[in-house]
This record gives sequence, structure tokens and C-alpha cells, in this order.
Amino acid sequence: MAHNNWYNTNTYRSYPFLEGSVNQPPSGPLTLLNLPNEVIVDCGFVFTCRSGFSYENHRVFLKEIKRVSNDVFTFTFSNDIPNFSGYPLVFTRDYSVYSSATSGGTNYIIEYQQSDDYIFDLSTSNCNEPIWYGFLVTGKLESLLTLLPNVGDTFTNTPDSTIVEPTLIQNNSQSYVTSINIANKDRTRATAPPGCPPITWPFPIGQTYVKRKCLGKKVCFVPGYNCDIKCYKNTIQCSAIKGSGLGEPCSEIPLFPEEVDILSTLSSLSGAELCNSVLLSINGISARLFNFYNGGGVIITPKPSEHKVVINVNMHEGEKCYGSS
Amino acid sequence: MSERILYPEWRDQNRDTKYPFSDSAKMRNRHGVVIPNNLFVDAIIHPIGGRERMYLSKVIIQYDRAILFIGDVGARERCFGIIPFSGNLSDKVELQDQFGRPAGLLLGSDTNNLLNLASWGQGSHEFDIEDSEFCANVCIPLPVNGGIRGFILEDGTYVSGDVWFVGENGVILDYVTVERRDFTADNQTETLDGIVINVVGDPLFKRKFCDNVFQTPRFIKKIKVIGPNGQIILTPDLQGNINFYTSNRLSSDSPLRLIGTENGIIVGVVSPYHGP
Repeated sequence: MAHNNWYNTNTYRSYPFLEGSVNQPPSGPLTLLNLPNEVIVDCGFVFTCRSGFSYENHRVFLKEIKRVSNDVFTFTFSNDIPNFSGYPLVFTRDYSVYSSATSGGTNYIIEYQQSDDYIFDLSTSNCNEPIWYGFLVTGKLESLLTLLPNVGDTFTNTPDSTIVEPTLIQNNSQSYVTSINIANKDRTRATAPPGCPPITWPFPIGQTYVKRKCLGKKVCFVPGYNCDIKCYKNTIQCSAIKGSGLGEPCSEIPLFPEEVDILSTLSSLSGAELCNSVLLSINGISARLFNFYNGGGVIITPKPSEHKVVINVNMHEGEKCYGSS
Repeated sequence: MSERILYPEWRDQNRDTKYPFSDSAKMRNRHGVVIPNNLFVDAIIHPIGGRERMYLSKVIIQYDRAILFIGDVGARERCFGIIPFSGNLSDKVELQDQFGRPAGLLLGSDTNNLLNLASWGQGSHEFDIEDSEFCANVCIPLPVNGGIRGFILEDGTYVSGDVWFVGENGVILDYVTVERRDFTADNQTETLDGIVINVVGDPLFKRKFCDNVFQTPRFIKKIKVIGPNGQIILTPDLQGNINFYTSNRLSSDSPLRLIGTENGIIVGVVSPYHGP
């Protein structure tokens, strides 16, 4: 007994759609529920890492068939993943090509599409990674000529129409690394001492500053200042070792190019005073509370309200040899 | 006269066949546990690092769930799916690997047939490849070497998708391009993306970690010396130091003495007129 082949068999059943979601008898305005089985005989879709697809929660469906010109139809597939439903896969069929290529049997046309052209968030680079891609195999298109008689006519979907069998979907969500990106959290910013006016910044602080997005396929780690990188089998180990890598930096490393503009008004990128701009020691002596003691022949008078220390050498109580008993 | 459906629907066609298991699958293990033909009607299995001859390797029955493991010639537990016996029942059994990455789907004929697994009895039911091999067309193993799949942290956390390396607390990341000569490809050079790791420390770490109690000190930046000849502004040198000297342009033997102590200076005078 001769058996039907795969595509041919599918022209007589709902596949690749769920049973009951296609080929239903018309009752009212035509929708994709009434799409004949013979039009689409196979399809398949692959969701990429960034898609967030879930077999349990999301579906793929044929959203629309439109007659865009006398001979050309478009087949629009969509999904119900939040944020991605606006980025369909659109397949195109030219009936004139299809019919001329048909000779005595059905001409099955296979077409691949991917959503490269769709960037889901303009503020985020998609690193040239499509959200999803797929293929469509159409069967007999003659019925579309009568169901969509005029240019611009469309078949639209209903919530239960033309739902793709879930096993025709390959879900690669979160299955691999889409891109490597680098950024830096803000440095600790100085604050003004009590009683002083606050430091004003010409840019928002406390942010995470993006350095580079979508690094290429081959990425290497480079030891910078005070950094040593070693590789043990499949482990990359970074160590903070003073003087290793590029050595010690001579100046602060800006987090973003515009940050250096603040050096015209502040001592450092963090807004803090530099070591050489504040008094740390006198005569090499460093103390949290530095004391001036008066020896013989000298009177030291503090005047805190005037921020002043008066050293008066009056010679009246001098010693012959200071320090001798 | 019996009626025959010429073109049965896809799921109906598979309902009473071994599919998605292979034609050669015995559908029973050595202990006589039988996998019903109508347990599943379709599947797609795509674990990362999967190999040929994928099969249902183990079914663990617990009081509230069944855990199905899928293996292949390389590993007995390549991925797994869970069928709950209560709550939200579904005919879909989502598969995932050890890191929670999607690994496919087993499509049950209906939820009741999946619930019938509970009748196998609690415990672990093992199968061999010959018992429960899947058809090749439902298996799409993904190569494990197809680029970086993810980063695993020491605590086992798995990171994938758009991965961000973020410098913080004195670590600053930078970007450079690195020219690399490939000795295996006629010395051709290629340009790599380089992530530079700078460890510069956080000079204001006290402020960061003691934010509630830290008060910015009011530093002394200069000292004004007022004398008989006017005033001088002293600023620190590169080390933040200011030096006071005792000298006299008119006399090389100045009576003024500056004696350093642990936390300050003693300013005094020695004089022949004030002997002991």
C-alpha cells in the first residue's frame, strides 16, 4: 500500500498547528481559524538566548496572512512573549512563481527567516543576535486567491487560532552567552566637611558607567595596574598584587571620558583632597593632634577662635642647654 | 464495517504508537516496568552537550511528583523534567539541564496518562538505551563547544545571556584592542577585544564602609606665618609636609631650638644668661 509523504500528509491535517486551531468551518467573518490545512504544511522556530521563551507560558502562532499585491502573500508569525510580540517573522510567497513552478503536483516552498532586522530595545544593542528565527513550508496556495480576493485583504488571528505545535519550537533561552559587556560602578565620591557647601557634580553620580558593549567573539583578559592574571586549567584567576601588571598608576583612571573635566575645580576625580594638598606632617612628625610645646624663653598662645597660634620668643625663661637636667 | 481515518491528526496518529520513542525501543526495563505507548505523543530534546542515542534513562517517583531523566551514550542524566501529581497539571514536561537551561519538551498525550506514572510505585526506575531510546528526529543535541555557554561562579551560580563584568570597590575595568599573531594561520594578525583589569583601590573606603559615622575632616591645607617682616603662606610639599627651621640670617648660632616629640614640637630658646 502506497503511503503519503510527509508534506502531502500534512495538507490534510492541522499540523503544524494544534488540532482545532485551524481549518474550522466559517461562522461569521473569516479568521485564521478558517485557514485551510493545505496552505501551511510545516514550520519550525528557534528562540535564541535573549528571548525568555518558556514552553509552559508562551506560544507561537500565525498572526496574519495578507495579500500585499496581486500575486504576493505575506505570512506573519508572532509570539506572546512580553516585549517581543511586536517583532514577528514575516515570510513572503509569490503565487506567480509558485504556480509556474508547479507541474502536476504541489510545489512546497521552504523559506527561512530570522528577526535580525528587529531591535527590541533601541537603548540596548542586540549585538546582532536575532530574537528568534524559523522556517515555513507552504503547500497549496490556490485557496488563498479566493479567500483573499483583493489586494490588502487579510486573514487575522483569534486567541485560539493557528497555534504552532510546541515541539516545533527549539528553546535556547538563557542557554549561552550572548554578549560580554564591561562597566564600572561609580567610585566613592567625596562629601564636603560639616558646615561647608556640598560638592556639586556636573554629571549624575552613583551610576554604573558602561565602558563597552558587545565584545567580540574572541575576548582576552589583560592585567592592568596592580593586577596579575593566571590561568589554571579552566580557571582564570585574578590577583591584586601591588606593582604587578602595568605597575602602579601615576594618576587616577577616569571611569568615563567626561569625568576628567571636574579636575578644573576639584583636586581629584573622587573630589577628595590629594595627599600633597593637605598638611600631613610638620618637620616629618605626623600626629592626629599636633602639639606645640613651649620651651624655655618661648610663650605659645593658642587663639582657636582666630585659628591662630602665637609663638612669642621672649628669651626670659631660656635654658643654657635645653634638655639638660 | 470498521472506519479508518485516512489522515489522522498528528497527535492522534502518534497516540497509540511508540513515537517519540524509537521503533526498536522495548518500552520496558529489565524489572518489567512498562512505558505505555500513549505516555507521550511528541518531543523535542536539545540539551547542550548532548550526544547520540538519547533515551529515557531514569524515572524517580516521589509522593508528589515524577522526575524523568534523559540520558545518551555519554551520560545517564543529561537533562530532566518534572511531572507534578497535583496543582497545575499540564501535558507539557519541560526539560532542563543541571544549570536550569531549557533542554526541550516532552509532550504528554494527556495529563491523566502522565499522572498514571504514580502507579509505578515510589522509587527509582532505571532504563537502558535499548529500553527507551528516542527517535533521532526529536533529538537535537547542541554542541558544547559552540562558543561560551555561560560562566559558573564558585558557588555554582550560572550566568548566561548578556553578561556584564562590573568593576567596583577599587577595581576599574577598561577596554583595549589587542593585536595577536596567529602562528597557526600564516602569522596573520587578528584583533581581539581586551578587558583590562585595574586594581587601584578605593582611597575613600572609610567613607564607603562607615557611611553612617564618617565625617569628612576639615584638613589644614596651608599655614600662614605672620612675622615682623610680613606674612608667608606655607603649603605642603609632595609628601604633605611643612618644615620649620631655626636659623638666623644675622647669626649662625641661633638660640632658638625646635625639638621634635612623638606628637608635636617643643619650641624653646637656649641662653647663656639663664644658666642652671
